[in-house]
Amino acid sequence: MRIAVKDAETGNKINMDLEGDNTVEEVIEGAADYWKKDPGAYVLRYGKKVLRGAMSLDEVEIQSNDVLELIPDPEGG
Amino acid sequence: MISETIKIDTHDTDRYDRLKRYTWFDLQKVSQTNVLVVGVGALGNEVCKNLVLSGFKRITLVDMDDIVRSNLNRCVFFNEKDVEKKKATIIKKELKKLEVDIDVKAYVSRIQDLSEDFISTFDIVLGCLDNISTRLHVNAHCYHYKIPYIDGGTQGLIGKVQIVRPPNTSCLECAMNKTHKKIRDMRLSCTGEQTTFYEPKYAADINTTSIISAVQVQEALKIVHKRYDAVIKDLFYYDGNRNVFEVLEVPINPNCNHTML
Repeated sequence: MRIAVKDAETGNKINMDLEGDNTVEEVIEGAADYWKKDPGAYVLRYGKKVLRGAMSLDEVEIQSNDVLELIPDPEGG
Repeated sequence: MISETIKIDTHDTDRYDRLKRYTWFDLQKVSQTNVLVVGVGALGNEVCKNLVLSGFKRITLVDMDDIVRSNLNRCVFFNEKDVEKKKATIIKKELKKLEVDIDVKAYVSRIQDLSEDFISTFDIVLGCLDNISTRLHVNAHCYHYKIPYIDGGTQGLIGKVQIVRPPNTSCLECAMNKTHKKIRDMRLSCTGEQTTFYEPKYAADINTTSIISAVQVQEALKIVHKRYDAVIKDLFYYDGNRNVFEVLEVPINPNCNHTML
């Protein structure tokens, strides 16, 4: 399947060719590496839902042409 | 015939008059709630200020750090003369200036070094931490003891508040992934102790801190008053770069160590 991942911080978008058994974490790491994101925590959201890292794309019901968004998870205080 | 005598102009003599104008507000309930604030850096300063101004009177603080000069841009209770003093001790003193009639306890300690059942003695916990490891400790204990946990986090102009209401909602760990594990033990904003290895700090300012801490206390008030329909479910996300305020769902992870118990 081909999905789009958007970087919330920059607005940049990339397409990723993936399989249904690829995990959300793999998508996060792939996108973060590609954009050389600063070290930190990130989550992937689909619409208003934060996706669980260990789940596969099939398990979280992601389909071809869906757009996911990579957002920083702020852990400072 | 005149049946009763009323006094006029009393509304400005009551400190909590404007809060009492919320029809749901119960000052007795708020003042009797036993609140734990873990971390009294930037978020903790603002949270404590808002708790006291909102009528909370039983507040316990836990923080091990010393005050450093770089805290002063976003910690309303710390001054130049407080540098190198303990954050928890100074906050306790300053809160008593805001309201004399409050019971504030301060523990200069890591929360992990307090007794296993320490958290169980509280009605609600507000997390104002700067590292994932301690968040996970507090999260685990709150979920185990079924105590609501309102966790705040900031990073530059971005912030979040996650409301954990065991057993009905997800916990902090439900939303975490490998990127969290990689930075699990990093201290991301505050310091105040000797560091052996350089850990880069995030940008931090009072404005984002104020927004996030205000939402934390607002949600605490809702929970204390059992206004569960109004409580954020599950995550309030703020991005000042994009002018975004959103509520995001964090599904319960059925494989999570805490929610599956």
